[in-house]
Amino acid sequence: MTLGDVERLERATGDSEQTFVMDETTFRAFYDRTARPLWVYLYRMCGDAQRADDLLQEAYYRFLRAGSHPADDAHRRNYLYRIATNLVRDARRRVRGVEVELPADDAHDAPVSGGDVARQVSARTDLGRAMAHLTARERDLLWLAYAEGSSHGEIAESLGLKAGSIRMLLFRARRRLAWLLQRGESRGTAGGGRA
Amino acid sequence: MRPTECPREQDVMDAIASGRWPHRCDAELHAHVEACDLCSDLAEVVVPIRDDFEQTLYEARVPTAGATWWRAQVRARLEAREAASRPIRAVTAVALACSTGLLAAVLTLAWPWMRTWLWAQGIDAPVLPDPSGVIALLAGRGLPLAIGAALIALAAPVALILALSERRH
Ligand SMILES: [Zn+2]
Repeated sequence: MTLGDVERLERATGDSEQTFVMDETTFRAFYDRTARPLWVYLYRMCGDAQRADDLLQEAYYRFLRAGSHPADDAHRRNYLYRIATNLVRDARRRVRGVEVELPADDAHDAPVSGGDVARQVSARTDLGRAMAHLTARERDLLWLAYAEGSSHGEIAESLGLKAGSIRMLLFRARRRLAWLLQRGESRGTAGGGRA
Repeated sequence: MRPTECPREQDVMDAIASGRWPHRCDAELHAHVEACDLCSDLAEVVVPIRDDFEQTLYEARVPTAGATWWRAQVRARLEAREAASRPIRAVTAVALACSTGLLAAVLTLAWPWMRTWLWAQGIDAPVLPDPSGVIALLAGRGLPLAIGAALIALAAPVALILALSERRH
């Protein structure tokens, strides 16, 4: 986009012409409720803050460009997460041969305020390492269920899966992550662990 | 088949979500989690995920709703403009091709006279292949070809004017 384009379009955006189905006030309220958790989801799923920024913008753009949106807020949110999940999947496919993984050591870069800093950083690093060993779908499932507190129906809607399959998929993902975390802990202490 | 859910899962989730787990919840729940594989996995997994989520959420910096809205508007309009200009570009290309063809035809037909005139000026211009074959073919096809040629001759300048006026907007 050139400067001239932006100037011309700056004038054009002032027009009364409706570009999206959703109006600005509704969008702002919806964005303020969803943007930060969605960014965290994207960041945790793609493993890169810059890419999460881009995907966030793209997800809202595609959401706005969609002809119609679900009427209630919860379904709208699931719809947005579905778009975001597909974007992350596409991004993973583009980085062919190089699996986009959750950053195992990124917690070192993040400022942690108050509390037991060393313990918190260590826990985040352990989680990052363990999550990196899961499949993308397992990460999606666990994050939506336990970070976002989504119901099985919401997860199914967000990930495009059958609601009836979520319980078993979540159970397996959870078991696998618990095992990885315990293995990590035991490696950090005496070694061994549950198989 | 091993069970995949436990009736106490929600109690464990609530204790974690409210921050009571592990230090401020009752001994009975602790005892259950110790004994239940499902609930111990749950606690093992949910506590670090929630901690990480809350910390990352606290650190997350996202653009404002207004900035995101504005960028989306700009992009939508750019894309709309791009989509609208695609057929105009196609028409321009066709118009240019038609104009070039017409010009070549006129030059070819007028070449013998032009060559004579150039000869009179002392310039020895080359001889082009005889266009009489093409003329005979055109004459043989008669009316449809004549109408087609006339339409092209009329449409080409109109398309060019339209395309150029659209560019100025
Ligand atoms: Zn249990």
